Amino acid sequence: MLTRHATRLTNGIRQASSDVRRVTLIPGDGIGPEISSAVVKIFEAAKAPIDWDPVDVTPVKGKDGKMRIPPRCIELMHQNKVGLKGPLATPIGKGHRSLNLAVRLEFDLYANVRPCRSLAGHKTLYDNVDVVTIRENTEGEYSGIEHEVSKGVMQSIKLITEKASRNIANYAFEYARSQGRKMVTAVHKANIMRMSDGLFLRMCREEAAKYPDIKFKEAYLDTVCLNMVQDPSQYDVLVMPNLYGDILSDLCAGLVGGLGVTPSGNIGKDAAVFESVHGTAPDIAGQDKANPTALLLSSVMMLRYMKLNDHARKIENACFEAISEGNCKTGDLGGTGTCTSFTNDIIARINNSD
Amino acid sequence: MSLISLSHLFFFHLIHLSTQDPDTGQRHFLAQYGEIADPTGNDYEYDHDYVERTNEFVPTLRPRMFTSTVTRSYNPLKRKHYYHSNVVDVKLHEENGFRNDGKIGRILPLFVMEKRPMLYQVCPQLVELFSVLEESTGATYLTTEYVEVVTRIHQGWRRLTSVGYCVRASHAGVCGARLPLMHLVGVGRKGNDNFYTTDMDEYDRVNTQDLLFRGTGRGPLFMLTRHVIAGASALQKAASMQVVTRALATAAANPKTEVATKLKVTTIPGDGVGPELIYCVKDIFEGTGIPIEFEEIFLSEVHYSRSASIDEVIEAISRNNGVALKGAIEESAVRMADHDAQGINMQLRRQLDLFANVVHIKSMEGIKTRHKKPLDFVIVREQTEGEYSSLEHELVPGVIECLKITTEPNCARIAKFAFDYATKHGRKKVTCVHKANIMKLGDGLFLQVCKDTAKRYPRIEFDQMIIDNTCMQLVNAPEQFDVMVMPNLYGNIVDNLAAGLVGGAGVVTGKSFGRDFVIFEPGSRHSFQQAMGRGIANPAAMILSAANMLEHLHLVDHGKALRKAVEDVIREGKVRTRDLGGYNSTNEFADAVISKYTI
Repeated sequence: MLTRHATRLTNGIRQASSDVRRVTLIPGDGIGPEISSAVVKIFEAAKAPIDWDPVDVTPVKGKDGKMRIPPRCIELMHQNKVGLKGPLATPIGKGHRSLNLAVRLEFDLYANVRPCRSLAGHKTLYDNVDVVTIRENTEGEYSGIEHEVSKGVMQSIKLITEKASRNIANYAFEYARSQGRKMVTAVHKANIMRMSDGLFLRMCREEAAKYPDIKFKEAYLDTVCLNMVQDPSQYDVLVMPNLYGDILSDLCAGLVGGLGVTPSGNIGKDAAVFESVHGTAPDIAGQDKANPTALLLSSVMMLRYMKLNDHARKIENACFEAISEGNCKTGDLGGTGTCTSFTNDIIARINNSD
Repeated sequence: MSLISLSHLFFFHLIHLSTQDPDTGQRHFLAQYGEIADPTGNDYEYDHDYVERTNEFVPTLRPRMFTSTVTRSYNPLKRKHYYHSNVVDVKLHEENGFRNDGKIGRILPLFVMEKRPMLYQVCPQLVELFSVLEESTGATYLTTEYVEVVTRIHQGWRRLTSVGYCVRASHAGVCGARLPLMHLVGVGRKGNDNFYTTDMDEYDRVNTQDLLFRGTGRGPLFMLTRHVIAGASALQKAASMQVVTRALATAAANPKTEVATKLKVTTIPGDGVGPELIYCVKDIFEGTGIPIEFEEIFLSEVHYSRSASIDEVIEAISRNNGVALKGAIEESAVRMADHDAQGINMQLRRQLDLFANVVHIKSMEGIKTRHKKPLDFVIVREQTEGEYSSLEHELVPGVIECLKITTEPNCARIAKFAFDYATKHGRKKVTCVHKANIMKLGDGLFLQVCKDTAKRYPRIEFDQMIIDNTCMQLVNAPEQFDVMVMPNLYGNIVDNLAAGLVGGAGVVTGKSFGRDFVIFEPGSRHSFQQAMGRGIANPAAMILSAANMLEHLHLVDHGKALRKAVEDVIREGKVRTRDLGGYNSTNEFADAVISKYTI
């Protein structure tokens, strides 16, 4: 099924919104291919008007000898504007940039959105979590600029720019407005990093002034961490620079059940890549044990981004039902099913609901 | 000459060959590697300023021969005595140990480790010995980043099972009672037990594979012990057992005959609810008769015009035993004319060089938590550098660069501190928390240094975890952690996260360690401005920090009693402040603690 669509390349003609939309699919490594095919099957069953263009983003040596993402992938992405990405392996300490980071920088995906909502059928110690973390995705502590200043002294540079901070603040308020959220909290450490987080805060305040219908609060990072584990319901939308966002979004994911059930989207000005944030799990790759929930919920986010809300709702409801009622859950959700059985369960529910 | 066979089992079984010089009776020990160094013995030159100058140490594997000669020198300029041997250098502060001026200090011998390769292996055993001494003589051994290796003593002394002899003694704190330390000749380890032998003949019969260090009647250990004990015993005779403060062991001639009354401690109330909590502690100390006197100093960024300067604070703390009890100080956003200025907390930490922050996360009975498992782990956080270096500048308008500095000496320091702390408190595992996958140089260095330090502590398991995963594990399975070591920012996050797990900012204690100063404060530093002046804050964290402080000042019984009182109040659940689900006030909690306090 994937091969049918694989080689069709349009010539940069934008598709009208009622037509079939093309989406770049990056299956990824490890369990990536399994869960991607699961998602594709579910989309077929839901009759979502999506055509997939699967690509491989393993870096290849470019003309200058540096490792780059293959140019074909970049072309496709610029045409399609929307992508769905499975888990990619990131080597630690190898010197070249992580692939995740490279994808984000290439397409200037400046906002990382991670809605963390408690799943009905997957009970954790924390109930009623409904937090969205919006994190600046391109700069901050992850700018990748590091040097050894002198022997034994390392310097990492955290870059905060006005433009990026304004963009992310704007995106956060727009998101809050479009999703009907009541409160945006800026998370910072401006008591310590006075200039950099101070700039970030200033931009947030400026944007907040433009959205009087949404409440704006500021909170220190340590206060948020402290309160989040005691009462997660007091936070709604959180906006923050890169590093804090990384940690806090993983914290929130942990509250609802881990990275295996959390969707994530990287949004740019005109492009978006939705991804599953868990690892590649090489130990269970190929054994049909993987849980496609994360990638599936990310694809639901993608459908909402593309304004295909009906399909999104259908698939999401089927997924939630399958988790709460079904007995085909995969092992990590506490069930005994396999990836295939879980997928089929969801497909059955989608067909039943029609 | 008696030869003991080489041990090949573990590298920390050091001394196996020994020869005895027939003329002087000195024993010479050959190192494990079998190489014999300069036979005259003292094969290094001692530099009086060496200890002060060098702040870092890198062990090199140079085989050495240890002799048991000890020499003593005195530096009149610094008024410090030094004992030298190849194995251990001991520096005794005269102002704390040898003067009879009624000043109570907590410092006796300063156990300094030099660049000796074997010390890393012998250190745990040696300091176990010191802990025996500590318990028996009532002296305290200085806690520096090197000396926080005094391990927890085992319950009594062990019987050696297969060898057939035993040494029994009590470490009840009474000097000389049943502790024949005068004749201590050997420190060894067998399996998981430590044993100490006092009989030379029996010692010869001991299975040499388990021997770690051998002393003689004239060995450095012996001299040290005799010195310490002599002074301490004189003192103990002079003082009664009801003495609430332990006076120092003086070296020789003039034992103290009078009991000093109270130990002095600096308090820095801080902002928000800090003053109320400090008042609460004072109230409790007065109500329970704990002999501590407080000297308050006002340090604040918000109230900048009335605040003391950092230098004055440092001076006050050094005056008062180097110990302070501190509330949270709020950083002010108002006086930002000078954008490069560090916040007041960072200034304080940098100038006092409080490089390690230790937060002990312990679940308390009576506080409901989401996860039902009992937690007991320690977070060691590097406090002086990292992301909080406050080096920021505006490159071009609208672009700000903030530097995160990681230096190898500081990483080594905190890593060693963490492992030493784990050794001291009998912890089994140290987890390094980092983000080396993204910050390859900065956190990569931190991780590498931790790994290298871990190699020197073979009995402690080492693990590493990325900060994201750590946060997730903390919310799902926090019971897996034991000791965690991490740079500045991650420490801030994990401190607060973990505090939230066991009941919030009102119940967690923290200690900030430096070489010469210790500050006790609530673990998660929130000034809680909303509750200021209302008397609703939970003082448990501050009271428990004060209990830690008492233990540090060697008022161990008082500290334990205070801690027990707080735990009893919380367990009983009748008096609860708002964060614990009740409506009682700070003062009511303090009264309950006073009523439950028994010593």
